[in-house]
Amino acid sequence: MGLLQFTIRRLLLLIPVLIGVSLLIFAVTQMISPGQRALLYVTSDKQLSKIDEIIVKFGLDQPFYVQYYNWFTQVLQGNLGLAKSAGNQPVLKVLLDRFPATLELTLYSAPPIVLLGIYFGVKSAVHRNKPIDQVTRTLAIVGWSLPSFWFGIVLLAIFYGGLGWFPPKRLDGAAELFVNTNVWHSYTGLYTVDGLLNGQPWITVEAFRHIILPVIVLVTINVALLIRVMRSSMLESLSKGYVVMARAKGLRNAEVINKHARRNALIPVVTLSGVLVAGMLGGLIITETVFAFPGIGNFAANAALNGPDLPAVLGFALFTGTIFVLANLLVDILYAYIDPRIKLG
Amino acid sequence: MHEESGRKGFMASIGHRWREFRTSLAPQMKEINFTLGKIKKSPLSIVGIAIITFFAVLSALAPVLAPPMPGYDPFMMPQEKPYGPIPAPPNAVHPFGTTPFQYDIYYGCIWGTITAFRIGVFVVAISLILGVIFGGISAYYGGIVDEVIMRVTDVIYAFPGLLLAIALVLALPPNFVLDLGVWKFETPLTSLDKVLISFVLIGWPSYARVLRGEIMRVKNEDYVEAARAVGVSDLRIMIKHIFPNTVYPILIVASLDIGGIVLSAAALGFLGIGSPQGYSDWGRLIALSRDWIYATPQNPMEYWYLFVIPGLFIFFFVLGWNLLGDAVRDILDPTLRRR
Repeated sequence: MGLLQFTIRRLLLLIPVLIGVSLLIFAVTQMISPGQRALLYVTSDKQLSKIDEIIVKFGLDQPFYVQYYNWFTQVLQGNLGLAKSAGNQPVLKVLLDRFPATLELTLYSAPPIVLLGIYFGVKSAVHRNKPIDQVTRTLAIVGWSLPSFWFGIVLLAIFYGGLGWFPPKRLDGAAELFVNTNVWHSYTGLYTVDGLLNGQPWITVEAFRHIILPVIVLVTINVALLIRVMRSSMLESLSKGYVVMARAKGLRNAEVINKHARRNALIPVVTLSGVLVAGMLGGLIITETVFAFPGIGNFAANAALNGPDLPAVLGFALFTGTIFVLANLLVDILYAYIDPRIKLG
Repeated sequence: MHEESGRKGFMASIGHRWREFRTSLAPQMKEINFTLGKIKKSPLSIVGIAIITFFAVLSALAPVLAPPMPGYDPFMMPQEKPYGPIPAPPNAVHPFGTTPFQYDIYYGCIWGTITAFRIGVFVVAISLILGVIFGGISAYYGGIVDEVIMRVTDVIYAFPGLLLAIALVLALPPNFVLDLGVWKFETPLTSLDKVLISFVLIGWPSYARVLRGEIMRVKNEDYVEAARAVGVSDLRIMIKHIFPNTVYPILIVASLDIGGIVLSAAALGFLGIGSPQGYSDWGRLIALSRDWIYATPQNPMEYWYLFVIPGLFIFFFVLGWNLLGDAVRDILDPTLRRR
């Protein structure tokens, strides 16, 4: 099977998974009263006073499958309802507005996680049970055991409360005002990049000052997983015949490790990195909440805690479910591409 | 006389069977001893075990270390009157200080240990059982049953776990009712129960998938083929050949899972979901102090005790399990085991 057929087949398989995701969310929401669920169908402020009419009109007291069908047809038309936790804006708009914040956080966190993970994973494996291996593993486990919200609070207390260097949120003060004026053009939605594109490097600097602490938290906590996987994959690779062969040929140690062992050991790390990035793009609920960083994860946390705001929670779940499944598809394609042994199909 | 010899024969047969049983277990015993030897030689796992033991002792001694007030729920932290909103630093009466509204942090930390054990062990145990059942069914029957179970796990995987947990905790009814007509079961659900239930619902798929994958792998191994060829029954193959060769990976997942579950529960508590206010729960304890993080510019760390102390409890508890889990993983991993 060719790459194209494989992709098409996987895209088709995506549909049942997404329907499953929406069914699951919908089933959870069925436990909540019709009155609250009526908000799903509210599209303007004025309708808020007519909740009872809406319950009857949309049959919120009807059987599950009827309600699901009604909701699903709305979703297909791009109507995810209004988010009362975000000033009654349409959910889809809020999600799209906030997504760049999450994207920016992911873009700065993922590369250090992956590169540090590979570097220390290889180091650890090559020097198995030597001091460097022990220290790396211990530090990785320590990082992995840190409660992200607590680590974030401690960093904020020191670097914001104490030193005043790295504030929470995405921007504040003059910078925040500036990006809301007409002078500012949002090219990418990423403040660090748009600052330069707008010829306002100080915005870029400000954006970096705000983003650095959440990035530190994410890297510290997630790098452990990559080190672990890279290490065991590398250990396995080092024991393979082709590595023994390469050594027997008299290749230099660096060449054996970098060209023969590491390249083959990278495959599981590609998968894991994909899953990791997909998860991060799907919203970093805790990290964004601790740092009041206005991404989609923060939006979801607020939505879940205010009410809960069902349209927002449902919309977020569908959004992240889609991202997650698409990202996994991308990883599978990449996987098939870098590892010719994998049969497509 | 007759009876006597009969009994002798019976005892002899038991003794014989016991010896036979022990001989048949010899390879397993050898493996277990080898594993224990490896654990003893791994300093990280010893540290992990020491930390977990420390917390176990702490929770066993909780009624002594922090005696609850008679007539009150021991998991509710005592409040110092008047219930003023300003936290108090560590002092003679409250060794770790008090939170806003004067909950005793020391008491919350000690009894929170029991809460953490309850969450971690319960969730992992039930998820493991459900995972083994569904994973086993999936691998054994294959076909449409397998397809359905695997798609269900796909769906749960595709979902942001923490959000699903939040949604479930918020949506679960205050009473659990199982009405089978002839038999009705009803029990109230506390908010902590809801957290446990939602974590189990999210947790079982990983066990099911790991076990299914392992069974699929082992099913076609030569030794299973060989057993089948000489006419060993399906059940015996399952118990003697498949189970011992698939159980390790799932135990690895379990040992690595406990720490993660306690972390997620703490995160939920921090968001203000789960246990009620005043409940001895480390995450919830930190949530109480969210407004007091920055203190004053003159003395930015004035209220450090509010979040540093409970945070350290969470951190070390999770660290203990992760150290143990990591060591166990390395020791049990068949590809690394004998090197």
